[in-house]
Amino acid sequence: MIWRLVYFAICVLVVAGIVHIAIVLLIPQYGTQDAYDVVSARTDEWSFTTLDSPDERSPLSDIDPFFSYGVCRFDLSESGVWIRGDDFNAFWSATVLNSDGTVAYSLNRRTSIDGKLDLVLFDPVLILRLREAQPAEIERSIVIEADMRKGFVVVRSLKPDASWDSETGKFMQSISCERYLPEPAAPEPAEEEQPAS
Amino acid sequence: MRILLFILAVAAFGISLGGASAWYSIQTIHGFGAIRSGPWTAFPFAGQSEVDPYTIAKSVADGSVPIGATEGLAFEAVTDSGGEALQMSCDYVLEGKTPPSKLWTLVAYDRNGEVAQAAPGGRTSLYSGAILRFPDDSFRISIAERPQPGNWIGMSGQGSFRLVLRLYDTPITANSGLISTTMPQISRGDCR
Repeated sequence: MIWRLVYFAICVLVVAGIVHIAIVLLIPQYGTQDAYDVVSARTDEWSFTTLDSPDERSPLSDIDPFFSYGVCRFDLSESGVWIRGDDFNAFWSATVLNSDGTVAYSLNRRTSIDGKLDLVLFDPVLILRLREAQPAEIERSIVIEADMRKGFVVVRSLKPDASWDSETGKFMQSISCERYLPEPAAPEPAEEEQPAS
Repeated sequence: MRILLFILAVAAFGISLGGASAWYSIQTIHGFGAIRSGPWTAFPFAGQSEVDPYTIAKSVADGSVPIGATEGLAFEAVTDSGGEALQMSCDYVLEGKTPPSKLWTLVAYDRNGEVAQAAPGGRTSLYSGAILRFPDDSFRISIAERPQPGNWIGMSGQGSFRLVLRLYDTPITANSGLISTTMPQISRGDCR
């Protein structure tokens, strides 16, 4: 009898272990309450949206009341994304997250170039095109290779009291989030003429 | 017949045990690699790209957006320094220093995860740029329903609360806890 019970307990533990691991690993795929889904319900892709309207609850949980939050959703499968903002003297920071809500990259004002938000994200395939083209317009941007398709960026900017509302608001308004694809490298004229001659 | 009963019993117990343990660990364990300092806990790896599956599952389940490692680090306290749960019906004193950072904010949240309701004339969040300090850079914050001299957090309401101290642009994350994390003490005063 005792061996039967031990055998039963071992079987239960094995099943419990499998179920436990399966649940933990499957939640990111089937969860519907994660930050990406919540943000998706409220914002359009490729548009930077400021989240703090005074009368509505912020869709993100665990927010810091001293910060103004803005998000932009993007999809890297067809093009890169270029996120730009004006110079802002107070502290700001930005986080790039994938659709599971995992941080892929983050920066703050001090770790940016000239204190400006200027970020270009590409997936590993499209970044090869970028390396070939070496466009001049993103020379001073931070270029990141992000191994994800759908994701979003969260920008936080400091708003210590109500007197900062207009400054912070201006910075958030200035942030753009658009598709970016480098122009294919212009064929060199000398090479084009060769077959004709 | 007995075999079938056995399989059914194993499946029932196994699934419920596995489900309960998964739910429990996602709710309570915040992943690995926590930095602890007195009642404060922070999870520096939640903001990096290599995250354990528990932390991912947790952030999916509660819809939170972690602070990126380059942005800062959030310390959370649900108990005072003596290990008792933080209650809105008690007064507390927060005393000490924070680890180096560009700025920090201290926010009290109620048990539903919302910013706690302020008492008349009070506020439930403080910002490091607008805080009174002692000459040695340490500070003292009183948490009470009634107005207090100096730095004051005034909440009205019942039940438990938690404090979140967010350090923005701090070197702690870069050094994985090699910098000593001196966090303020939370000592309990009178309870009503």
